[in-house]
Amino acid sequence: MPIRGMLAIAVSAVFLTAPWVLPSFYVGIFAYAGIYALVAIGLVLLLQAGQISLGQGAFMGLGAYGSALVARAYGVDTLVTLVLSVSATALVAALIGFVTLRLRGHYLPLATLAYGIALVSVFTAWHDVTGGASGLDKIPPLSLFGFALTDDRLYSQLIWAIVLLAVLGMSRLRASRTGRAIATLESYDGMARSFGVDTTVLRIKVFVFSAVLAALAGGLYVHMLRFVSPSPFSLMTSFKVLIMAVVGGPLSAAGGVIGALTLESAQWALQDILARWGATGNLEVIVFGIILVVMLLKWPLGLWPAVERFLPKPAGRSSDGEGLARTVMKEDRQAVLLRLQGIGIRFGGLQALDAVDMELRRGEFVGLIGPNGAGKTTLFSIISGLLHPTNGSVLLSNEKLPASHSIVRRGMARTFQHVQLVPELTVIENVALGAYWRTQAGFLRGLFALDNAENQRVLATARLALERVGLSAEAELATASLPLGKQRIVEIARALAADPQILLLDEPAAGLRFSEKLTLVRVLRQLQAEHVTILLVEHDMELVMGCVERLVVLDRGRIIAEGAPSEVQANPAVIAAYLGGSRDKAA
Amino acid sequence: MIDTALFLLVDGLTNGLVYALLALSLVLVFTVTRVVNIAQGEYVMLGALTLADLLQGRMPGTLYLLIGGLTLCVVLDGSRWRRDWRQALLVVLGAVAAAAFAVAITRGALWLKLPVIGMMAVALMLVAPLGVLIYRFTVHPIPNASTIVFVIISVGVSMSVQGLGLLIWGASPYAVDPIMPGGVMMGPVFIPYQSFAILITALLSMGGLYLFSEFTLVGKALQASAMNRRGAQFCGIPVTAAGALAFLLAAAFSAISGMLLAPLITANYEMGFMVGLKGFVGGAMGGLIDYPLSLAGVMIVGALESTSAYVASAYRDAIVFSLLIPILLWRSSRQRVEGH
Repeated sequence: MPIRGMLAIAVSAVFLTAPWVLPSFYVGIFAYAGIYALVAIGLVLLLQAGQISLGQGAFMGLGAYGSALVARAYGVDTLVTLVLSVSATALVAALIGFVTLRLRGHYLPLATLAYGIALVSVFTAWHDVTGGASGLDKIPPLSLFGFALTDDRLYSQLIWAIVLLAVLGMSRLRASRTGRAIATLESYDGMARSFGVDTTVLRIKVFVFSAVLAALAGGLYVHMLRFVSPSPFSLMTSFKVLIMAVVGGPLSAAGGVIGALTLESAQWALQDILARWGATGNLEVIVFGIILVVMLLKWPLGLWPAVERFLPKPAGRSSDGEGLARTVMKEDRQAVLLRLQGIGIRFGGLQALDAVDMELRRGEFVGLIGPNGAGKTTLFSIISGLLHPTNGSVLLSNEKLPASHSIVRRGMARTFQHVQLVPELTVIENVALGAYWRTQAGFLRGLFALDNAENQRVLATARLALERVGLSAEAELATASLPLGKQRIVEIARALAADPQILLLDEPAAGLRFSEKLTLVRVLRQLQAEHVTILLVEHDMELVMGCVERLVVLDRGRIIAEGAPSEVQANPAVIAAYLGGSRDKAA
Repeated sequence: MIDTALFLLVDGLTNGLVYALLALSLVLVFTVTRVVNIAQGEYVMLGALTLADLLQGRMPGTLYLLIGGLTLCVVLDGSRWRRDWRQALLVVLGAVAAAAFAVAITRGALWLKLPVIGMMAVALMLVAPLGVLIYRFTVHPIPNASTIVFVIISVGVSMSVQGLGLLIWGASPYAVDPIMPGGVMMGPVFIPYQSFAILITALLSMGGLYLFSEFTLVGKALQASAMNRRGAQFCGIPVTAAGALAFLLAAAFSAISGMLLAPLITANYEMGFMVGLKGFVGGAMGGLIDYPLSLAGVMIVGALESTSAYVASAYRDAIVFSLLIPILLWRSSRQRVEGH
């Protein structure tokens, strides 16, 4: 067993025995820290997805009130009511996520903030049911089939067992298909959609997961305290949990635990000191606010990296064995795979593309060239569904272009002119993103590690793709450590992992060394022999002329020439576009 | 019945105008700096409590914040001392001069026993610079951070400033005099003069901002920074200064709205946060970038607030904040129409 795993077991054992050795006063504090840690872990995942909620306290409240009120009124086993209230919270979160996460711009913090205030004011105002601001007592303890859990130490142990399971699940998730996709959400939305990730749905899932953890924590809280009132679920709690997630750091669920323990201890210490000075009111918020700002300014990755420095590196998941089955294509030069009809797009006053018609047949290798600003990358974005044309239509296998995250499922993959690799993932994990659409395992299978066989095949596919482009030695390295040329080749490997029938390459040779260019040409020839259709945008004319069968020349948004490389090279309009001079005369 | 409706309408419009100044601040800050400023409401509190102190003849506690902030500024620039002592000396002298000026005008105003409107001007001069200081401490060091990071930072600022407000002014509420006491009967409805003052100030502020943005070079530079930060930088516009200016103006607008609002409710250390959030709910209608739509949004918020306060007062906040859901749904349907 790896050292890291043994360390994790040892630390878990300490957390699980702590409730039995601590003095009884500290058992309660320790249990509270565990409850907040659970909420903070959910927030850590949300931060990893580039989102933030300012209403986690309210989700705790919904879980707590839902379970407490039903159990108190109907005498049902509280474990049942807890499951019900957590499910109800998940529905509410899905609704909020659906309304806000489809929108461009950042509405989630505002929406959760507003929702949090609204919900707490309902708890306070709905006096007949909730007991209003003074709360309700006689909440039943946690129970199933009449067995009640009333022992504080055992309860604290239970809470920490759940926290540790959450940390374990999150670390499994991080190395799973869904985890790799979550890592793209913060900065690489377009790339993720090109490889089949429905980023909106995934964002909603992550948000719902964070709300579920908060609701579970709220339920555990209320059945431990056996008293429910609005104040523990106020905005202050949401902010406190946010600080915990930020202090611990967004890199790992363990950060949430560290943040919760740090902040809970700090709060007790501060309140003690302030009380000795004779201060009244929540003056510790001044310090908390400053901690939050300073952490983000100076240590945006939180405390976890300082701890992780002393730990051995986690073992990567195995990439042995066979890859996923590949599509075998037959030669069929008549089949039109991609057809562009009268494509035009306008950005404000700029007509970036105008009446572009183009066809790609199976197995063709077409070069798309033109001076800078001719509209090549814009055309790529339209073909891959990231931009919608003002006029005209794109037909993929004679059907209308589907939503951008479904395009790869129809066999089209691409690379990006500006390298879009996720720095938080290793090289092989980035390549594995290419095979996202070819596999199934979802959020829950990743969380409970039920995806091992499939994940291994995905990683094997990624390893084979890396071997093909000659980068197998770099598989386990951090992506950012590669030079730019190699990063471009990783982009190609990722597209290969998607098993494409059509491959769009946007300036793959820019910044490549000579030997790397030779590898690129070899890979392209190999793909051509496998009847993969390739559309290549490239400025290296020697490479383009040596590879492609047909050239399309774009200038100022229009196609000015088309044909075999030798014909195009002699075309006066093309020469004028590249070398300047009077284009009108040439045309 | 009609009387009640009219009364609610006037009340709602008055509230709406106060929130409008907030929405104006929020849009200004967001467009120029990409900061979704959760802490914007705290300037409302600072404005109101500073005015309350001045009207009761006390040195306002805001001076502690101002002088403390200036000191922190000097300390943070400490690394410059060795490299460039002239610049450092200028910073120190500037900070000392600013602090001395602030104390002097406050003492002068208290000695002269200025009328309410004069005291408002003094309070404004004390509160608005705090916006620049907070910009210097929180946004300036990391200008290219993501929106999420700025949201979280502004939560931290809001917590700290509210805590400092509690430390300085305590938890007790303060009464603030209106600009002019009394009011006038218009038909069946009594309208306090303060409501007119709010209307006039809101119109002057909005008009002033419009004229400033459209007809002055600095205003145009501000607009350019809002539209395209990098492009503006390439044109030689100091975008950092533009950000500081946006924070200054936003702090000023919010402080004014606090001073106008305080006589209608009572001022305490918690009052700002909620006002700021209601500005947000309205501002969300314009996506935090569109001034006219944001104004429409805050007017709806104001009207809904006074109606729900009358119909179901315990649920007022719940109703007002739930309004965000239909507003966001409306925005996403518009987004669909735009075809993105």
